[in-house]
Amino acid sequence: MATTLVRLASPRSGILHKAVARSYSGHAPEPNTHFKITLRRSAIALGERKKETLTALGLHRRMQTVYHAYTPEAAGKILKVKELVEVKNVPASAVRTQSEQRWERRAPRGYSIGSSRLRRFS
Amino acid sequence: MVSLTSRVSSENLSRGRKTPWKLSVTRKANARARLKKVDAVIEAVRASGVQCKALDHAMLLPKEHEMDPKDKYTVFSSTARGYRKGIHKVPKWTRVRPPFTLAKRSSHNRVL
Repeated sequence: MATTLVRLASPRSGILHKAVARSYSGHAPEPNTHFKITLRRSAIALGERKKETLTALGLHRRMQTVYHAYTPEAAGKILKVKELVEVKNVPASAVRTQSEQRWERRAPRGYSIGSSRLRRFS
Repeated sequence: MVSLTSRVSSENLSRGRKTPWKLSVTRKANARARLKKVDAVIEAVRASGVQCKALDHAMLLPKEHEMDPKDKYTVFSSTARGYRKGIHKVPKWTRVRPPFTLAKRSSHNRVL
């Protein structure tokens, strides 16, 4: 799994580094360098070759997303299972590992006070 | 003792659910949407600029708007009357795009 996922930034800098890179990137649009592949349909009962192709792409469950750099190998695997996946072209700054995706999905910690009756009397 | 109705229902059970002979408007629309999604995947890979044999093959596939309705909703069948049967009779038809929808084959089928 770790070998199939593409890791760009150093492990320490992580998301923060990428967020900064995104917000301060230059005026020119970043060139797309990666496939963002999401498994939409399962390969159950479609034969072992398709299942193995999904495993080779690092896809193990529906709605899972992986990123692959532009290579003929990745393109061939995508086209092998083109009925099952959704593909987008993304720049390098948009690439996330599985743990980073989970971190971005998490619910915000703590709470914020929308309105309070106490404020009226203070 | 087996009554007539129970025998009929058991026959239906053993055959599975009855399959309508043609697709409804909704199922055809869903089939077109799935074909368009496959086209989008091929287009995304093409837009990446990567060149490979699989892409050359995929580019030969007709796009959804280029396909005949006949090829979208029916397939060749040697046993069916008129040599065509509904594509929904093909196992896993919503998840495979079988070779009979290839451009070359579809022009061949048009003769039939």
